[in-house]
Amino acid sequence: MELKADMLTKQYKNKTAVDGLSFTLSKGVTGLLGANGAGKTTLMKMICGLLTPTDGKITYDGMEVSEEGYRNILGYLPQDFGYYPDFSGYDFLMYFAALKGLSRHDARVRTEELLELVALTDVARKKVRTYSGGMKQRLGIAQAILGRPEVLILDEPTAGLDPKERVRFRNLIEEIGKECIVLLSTHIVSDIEHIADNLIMMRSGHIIWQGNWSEEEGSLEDFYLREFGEDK
Amino acid sequence: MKSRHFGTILYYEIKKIVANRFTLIALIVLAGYSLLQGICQAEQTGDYAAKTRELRRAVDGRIIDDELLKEMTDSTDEYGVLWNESNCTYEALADWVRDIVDYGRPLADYRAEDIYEARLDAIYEAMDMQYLTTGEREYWKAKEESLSKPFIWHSADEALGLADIISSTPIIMLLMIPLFLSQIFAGEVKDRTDPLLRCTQGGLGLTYGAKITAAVIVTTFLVVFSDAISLTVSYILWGNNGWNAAVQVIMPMSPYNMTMGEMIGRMFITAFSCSIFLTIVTCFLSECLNNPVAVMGTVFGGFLTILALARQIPLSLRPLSQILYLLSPVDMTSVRGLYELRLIGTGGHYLTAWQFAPLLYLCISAILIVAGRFVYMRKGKL
Repeated sequence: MELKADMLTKQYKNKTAVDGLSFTLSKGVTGLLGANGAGKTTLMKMICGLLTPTDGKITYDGMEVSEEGYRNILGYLPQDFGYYPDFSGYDFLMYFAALKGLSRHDARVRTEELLELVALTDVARKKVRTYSGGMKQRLGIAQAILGRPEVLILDEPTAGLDPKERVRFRNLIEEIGKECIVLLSTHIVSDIEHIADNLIMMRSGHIIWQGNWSEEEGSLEDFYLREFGEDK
Repeated sequence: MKSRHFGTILYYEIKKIVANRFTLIALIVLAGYSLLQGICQAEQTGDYAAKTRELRRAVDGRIIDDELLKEMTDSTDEYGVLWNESNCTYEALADWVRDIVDYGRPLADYRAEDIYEARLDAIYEAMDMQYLTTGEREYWKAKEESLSKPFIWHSADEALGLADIISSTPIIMLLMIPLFLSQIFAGEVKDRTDPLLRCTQGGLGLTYGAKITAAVIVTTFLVVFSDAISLTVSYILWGNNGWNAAVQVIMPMSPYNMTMGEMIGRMFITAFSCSIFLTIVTCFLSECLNNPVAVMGTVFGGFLTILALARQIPLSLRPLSQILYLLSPVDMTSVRGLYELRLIGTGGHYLTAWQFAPLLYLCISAILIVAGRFVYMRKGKL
């Protein structure tokens, strides 16, 4: 279980959003830290196959991310989570279960299980338009892990969650990370400092630091503030 | 990805289209309009049509000959324009005669032979005006010769009313289809659900197929729903008198050899295929423009531009003029289609406009579906 990025570059007209990144992700939670505009979302979109790199490639166990088979093992929660306002939470998950290839029976079981997990069972039959921001975000998380992904990409997943929900979410991600590759982007250090096995820090399209912070001395937050102080 | 998932995805795609607050309102408006159309279509002159129905039918089945024409001229003024509720038996017939002959002369000046001759002259004149080729002229001459003459008179207001209902289908669908479908692809971008779809196994090809199928199902429902209400109400209230009459009783200068019923069938096929065409165009634009309002504007604008151009481009520019006419749903689903003599084909193998237009709509739709799939599969991969 290995996701490999090799000399990954994404160039727009006048801007290099991601510049020659190379890294390997394995099972566990990897935190992607960086200020706004660092290139985190572009990198994640390329990992999801939503953007084509200008140069370099990304493979999962030798399979290119542009291949159809890769989408079978992918879970993705984008930064701006979109939803169907007139669907109920239950319908939303059932729809994505079909898109992810789950049989009707499995879809029903998995949907109920996930609604329970993200504490949305009580409002499962209500339209998503009536959900609060935190409830929508939880629904998005449920959608991302619906197909039991081997690669889970979460772009700023804690946005809109209250402190209590943040803690619940961290515990959930930690649990999921035991079984698959999780890449979680954020600019909030506390979201990942206790659960991330590895960290990648980005600035202006480059990796400025990567590794296991627990092997380092000092506070991650202090390091982050020092590195990104000007960007914040 | 197993094919059984297509049904579930299709179900949710239909739900996306119809599960919004505007759907119920739009359906109520459509039902109301269709109901009124069914009630009003044969009542365009107040209750005159209802009161005079029996009188107007009194000469149904009679041969249009000198005897019938004499009865007609004896029952009205010399130009055949003064009618009332008690003497309107020959009113429609007088209109029919005046469609063929010179308006400025008294009706009594014409014998049946003169009228049939004037009719033929008018057809040949139309052939010249439409720049028909020799092969096309031969085709219509053969059709003309196959007509059973002298014609049998039949009042056909009721059947014509049914035809009018079919004629209005493209206009109603022009309003309804963009309303329901402009969001089909654009909405995914607007609601930011597009990336979620594209990261799933069935989010590309299967979703595209399900969206197009859902759009076609919704349109089919709208056409059947609207026309079924209008046609049923009209049939119950007014009947379908004239259904088996030759189309020449309403469009005397047409050489088409068909009954009113056959004509209504042709018009329905054209209206339905045109609605499918509008559906696919709307889906394609929704995919390319990513903005529902722009989609609606482009569909309306395109429709009206084609309609205007079809009437403005001179007939002498035949290929352009003909293709615009074929692409103009308002013209193609009108009884005036009986006067479109330009054919498609060569070497004696021809299709009439009514035979070709549905094929044209479906062919363009198929091309747009394939092009749309290509765009959809590549979209976002910048």
